[in-house]
Amino acid sequence: MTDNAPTALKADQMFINFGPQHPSTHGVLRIALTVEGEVVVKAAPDVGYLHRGIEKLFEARNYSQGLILTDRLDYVSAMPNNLAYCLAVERLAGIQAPMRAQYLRVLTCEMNRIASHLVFFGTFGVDMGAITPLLYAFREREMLMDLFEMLCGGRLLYSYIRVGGVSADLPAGWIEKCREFVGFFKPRLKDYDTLLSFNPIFRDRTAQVGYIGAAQALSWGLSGPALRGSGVNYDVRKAEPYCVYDKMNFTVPLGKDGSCWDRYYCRMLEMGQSAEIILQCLDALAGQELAAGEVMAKGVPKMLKPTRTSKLPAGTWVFTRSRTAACPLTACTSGARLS
Amino acid sequence: MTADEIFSKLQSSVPGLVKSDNQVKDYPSWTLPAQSVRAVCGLLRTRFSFDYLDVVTAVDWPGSAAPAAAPAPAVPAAAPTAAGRGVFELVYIVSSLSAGIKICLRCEIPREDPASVPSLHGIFMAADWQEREVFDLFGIQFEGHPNLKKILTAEGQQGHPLRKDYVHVPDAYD
Repeated sequence: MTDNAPTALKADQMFINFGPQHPSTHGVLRIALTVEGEVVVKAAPDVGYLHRGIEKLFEARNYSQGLILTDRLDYVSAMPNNLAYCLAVERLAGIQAPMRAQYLRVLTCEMNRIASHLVFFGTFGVDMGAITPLLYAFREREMLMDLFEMLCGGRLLYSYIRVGGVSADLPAGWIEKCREFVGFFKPRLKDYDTLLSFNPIFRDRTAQVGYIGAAQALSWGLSGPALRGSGVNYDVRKAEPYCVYDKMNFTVPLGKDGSCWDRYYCRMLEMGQSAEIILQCLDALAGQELAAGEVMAKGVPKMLKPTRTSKLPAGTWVFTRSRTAACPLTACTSGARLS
Repeated sequence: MTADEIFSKLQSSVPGLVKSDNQVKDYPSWTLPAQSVRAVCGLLRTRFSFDYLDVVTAVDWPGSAAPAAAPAPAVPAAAPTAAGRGVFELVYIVSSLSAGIKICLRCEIPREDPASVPSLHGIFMAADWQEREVFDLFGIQFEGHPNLKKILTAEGQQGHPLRKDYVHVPDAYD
């Protein structure tokens, strides 16, 4: 993993290890850089410092227990990870979440998108020496955290979206508080633009570097704002709508030339679109059509386990993993043959 | 062009390419011999504008072979059958974003050391890291990959954690 050291450097080149490596620092990524002055000529990324083997942990848990692991996949954006997991389990188990839950899922995911992009916006500035934007970003993010806390008790790791629906309906007064947030937040996007996005120093350092062309972005398999920053109009919410995204009216912001600034600004514009989606969800949730309290599909067990009606032929080995006194680690394998 | 039309055009030139009921979401799913994966992906890329590789992953089907740590079975293992086979199944999802088609490709390779399958290097750049991940976690070799090194697990880690017969060796962190 670490043998990325250069074999040959030209006289004016320098090799630099870029990146924090301690697991408690953010963005644990090492990049082995070869630079000529301030120009990067070669970069070999080295990932895996925070690999937690979550797939392996899933092997020893049932579907309900697995949910809490999905919070931790990206801890500044737990809702969408909850949702992706629940949609997969629901597809396997043939469960359909009630319509009110679908709106709540879209609502909370878009709120979480704003919260996550605000962390990006704030720390991106900090990493470049602009400390002020972070304070503004975290002021708004704090309001979102409060709303999440009212909803499910968690501020970072929610496990709010459950297999079959969501864990709770909106508490009294929540919709008004959320509208208040959106009303406060939307004008702030202009502040961010004047503070950072169109700041000449910031533009100089981001607008003409890190170009990724559309064909290159596709071939490298980029997704999300990183792909759309290169001008590729692909958003999974439009291409394969899930929950109630097909009922939402929003646009997909695109970059022009795939520079670092384009990818940044896609995210900034996305926050405005998320705010619009939130308002549409709030309107639907405040209306009469969606019965209040119906947020969980009927008959979904609290502990959803894989069924034992295995169609595997006799003699097949089935693997389970368990914590026992003899085998205190989760990674113990025991095999049993189906008879 | 629909996925069915692409399938019928490819079928004549790729022996062993068949449709499968084992779908991922509602994407059409095809199974094919491992040696044809590279050719099929190349054709999809150049002739049918499939420009995006979503996923490369694998499934370990240990079949009837007993894991090393398990007690010997009372009855001798039957010959591997369709479902009781000992195979690695490679799963690829390739997309044409312009046509809005996603296709799931599956192939099986014998579960032996070293198990290997052709790399998609040179067709999709995205194959680079995804194949390294499958190599790291399942121990499957990708022939023709220029930099097939561990990507996620630590340098000293022994074995391939997502294999069903993986046995964890306690280390300094346990």
